[in-house]
Amino acid sequence: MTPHTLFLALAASLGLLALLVAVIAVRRVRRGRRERRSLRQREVFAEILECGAPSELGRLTGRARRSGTSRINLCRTARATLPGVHPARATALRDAAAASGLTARTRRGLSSRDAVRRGEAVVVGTHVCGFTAADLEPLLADDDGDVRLAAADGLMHIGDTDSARALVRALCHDHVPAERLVERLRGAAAADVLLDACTLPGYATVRPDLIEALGAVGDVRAEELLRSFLRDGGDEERVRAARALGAIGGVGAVPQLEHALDDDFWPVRAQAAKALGALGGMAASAVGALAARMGDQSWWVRANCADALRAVGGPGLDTLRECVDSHPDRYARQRAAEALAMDAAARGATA
Amino acid sequence: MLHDLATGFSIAMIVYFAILNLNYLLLTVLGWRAISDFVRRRTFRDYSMVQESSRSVPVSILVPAFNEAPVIVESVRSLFSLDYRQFEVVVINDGSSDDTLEELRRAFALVEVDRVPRAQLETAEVRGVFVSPTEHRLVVIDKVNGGKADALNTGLRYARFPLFCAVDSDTMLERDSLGRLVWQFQAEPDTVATGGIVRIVNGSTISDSRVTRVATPRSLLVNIQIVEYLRAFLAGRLGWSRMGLLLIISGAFGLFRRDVVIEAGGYDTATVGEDAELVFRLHRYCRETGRPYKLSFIADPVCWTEAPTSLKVLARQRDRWQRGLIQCIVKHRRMLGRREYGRIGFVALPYFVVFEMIGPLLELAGYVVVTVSAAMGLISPGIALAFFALSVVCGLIFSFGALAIEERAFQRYPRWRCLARLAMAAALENFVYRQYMTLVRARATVRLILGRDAGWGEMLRTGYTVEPSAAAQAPPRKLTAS
Repeated sequence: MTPHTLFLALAASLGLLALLVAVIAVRRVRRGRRERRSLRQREVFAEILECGAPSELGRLTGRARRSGTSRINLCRTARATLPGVHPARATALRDAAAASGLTARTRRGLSSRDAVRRGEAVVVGTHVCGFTAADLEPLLADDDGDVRLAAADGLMHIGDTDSARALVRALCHDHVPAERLVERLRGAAAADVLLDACTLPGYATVRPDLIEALGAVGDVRAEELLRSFLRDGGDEERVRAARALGAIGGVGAVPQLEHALDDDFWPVRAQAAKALGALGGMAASAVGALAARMGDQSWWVRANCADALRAVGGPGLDTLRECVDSHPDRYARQRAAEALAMDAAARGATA
Repeated sequence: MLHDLATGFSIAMIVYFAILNLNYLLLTVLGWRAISDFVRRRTFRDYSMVQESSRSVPVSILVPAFNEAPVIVESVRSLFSLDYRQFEVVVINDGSSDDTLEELRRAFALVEVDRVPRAQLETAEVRGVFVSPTEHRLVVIDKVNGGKADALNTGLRYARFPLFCAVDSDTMLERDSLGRLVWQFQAEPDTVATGGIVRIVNGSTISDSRVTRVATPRSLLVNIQIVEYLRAFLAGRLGWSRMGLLLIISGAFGLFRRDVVIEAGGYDTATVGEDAELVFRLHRYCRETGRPYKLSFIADPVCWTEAPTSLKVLARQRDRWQRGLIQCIVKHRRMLGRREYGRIGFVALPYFVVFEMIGPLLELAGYVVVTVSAAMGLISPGIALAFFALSVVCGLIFSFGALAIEERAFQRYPRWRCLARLAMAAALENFVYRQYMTLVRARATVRLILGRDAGWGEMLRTGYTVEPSAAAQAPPRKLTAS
């Protein structure tokens, strides 16, 4: 390396350093101004969304078409404001977006090669342009994980029967993990679709997930179906049905869950005990069955039975005391003693 | 002859220097691109769903504790304020000789229970397992002392959930950090491990186990470490992660798939850098078994940690890191240059061997030879000085590159004064500090080669100042580590 090259490299490095310092300084100076402008823009957007004239909505969506920051601000404002205003405003916004070309631009964004543009299009399309399940469903199989989750979020937000069907169909593929779809199935439309899908042979492989989703939706109409799965379903279906019944609750589920404590498959027994525990005092009639399972071969069944007896309260605690005194199984006595100690410590801490 | 040797060595140093700086430049550019992509993605990532859903993958947080009585209760309490629906905190008392267990017992009314381990890993004897009736998410394991890796393996045996996060008991996770890490596992199901950024808390204000005002301390040493951390995480790891070559996930803050870690054999108790070793082994295990996998670094989940405030403690820490790294490289040398290990064997590992393992020795030799050669008139003193100036400016470029990435995405240090302190630290670290750290790392390398074990070293904990009324109404308090 000649001295000339060395000094040239030094000068170039100093130039690069100066550039970096300038970038930092400019970003810092502009940041505050940009944030204030965004905040002001969102306030104006919220006002227009709530009570602006159609021409103002047109100007708003036109600006969003041209500027990325405005698009993000419009999207955030629409997400926060629209649920609280008259549905007609959402329709007016959709019309304005279509007229200003924002919808067409966003639709093109869905097939962009840039994953970030696709993701952004999903969000803007869902909250501003009124995209339907048919628009978003293909993106559940997108190459980019973030876009897939954004599409699932969009379908949850739309919340109609078609979007619930799209989410249920996606359960049959591996693109989005099942639990991410299950947690996005919400509302009465989802319950209807799930109740149908549970009985269709085409969904047999994903039935455990459908059962879990039914429990998460919490629709009481599912109780009968869940009981039948707990009685006659496959291993995984029975486990999920027990969990779902515990989540939906209700005294009606107690006899079936009590019966499930005698299941051949230990995870079903453990889940049934846990579900009875979740029902608390409502499961008082199951105290005998729970006590009988305190000597189960599985540690988890014993543990869940002890916890359930503790959760039941009064008669459950009496049963635990009896277990400590006279249960023939050492492990059952140990679990009962632990549950009682936990109960006593909890009471002591509360006092 | 001497002149030829000096010239030859100078050429070797120039080549070394050029490759090293080009790599740093590449990492900084990749870091900038990764952060730009991350900023753009913020618009359509909804972390609240991950945090609130009962179906988000549950996480076991493992907290190994050895003689942490002054901070343990505060640390555990801060973990319970995390914004995540389903998680458990497993504290492993690794045979502490102080009141660590007693403090926990008093604070959480612990009750001893019978628990069956859920994984087969060899660990030191477990004396008891405790749960809390007041905080059902807490499990405390009391065991015979066996070191941090052994404590983590014990935690793995008793952890219930599919993901686990190993944190140090003196660190503080930001409330939304867990959800942000889990997001990666949901978006990319092949992910086996992911790490977040570790930031230095010294100088910041803490209230209710939360960092409420981020600031830099007066201490130059700590400011230099802040710049180092920013450079290592925002330029280094982000860049390596972007290339799919991440070899280190910080032991202070990483989220792992429990089943894969157990299959791979858990933490290695024979190295002092158990966190780095685990990541090396995960690469190796997944490649050898043909399992599709991804290890990544995400820049926005934050974990705050206390930085050493004295040069002596810092030197011990860096000594340990260097020894840990070398042990990992030596242990996994089989991966070097082998086709079955892909880019890890061809790029990442050779880089670590040349620039991290042997690098400090080469740099030290460079300083000595160039100074001696210049003094003896074998090379022009002007050239030597210009070369040193170039290395300083390059160092500044990478430090300012990391600060620019920080400004682009996070702006955690909002005050100009903090930025000025960091800029000052970035400039001053090139004189004395950098050379001293090279010396420390070179000494650690030599000691390891000679087989002299320096042990773990001791990190002095100053803990948090607990004010008499540490309730919500209390004024924000300052961490007294700076």
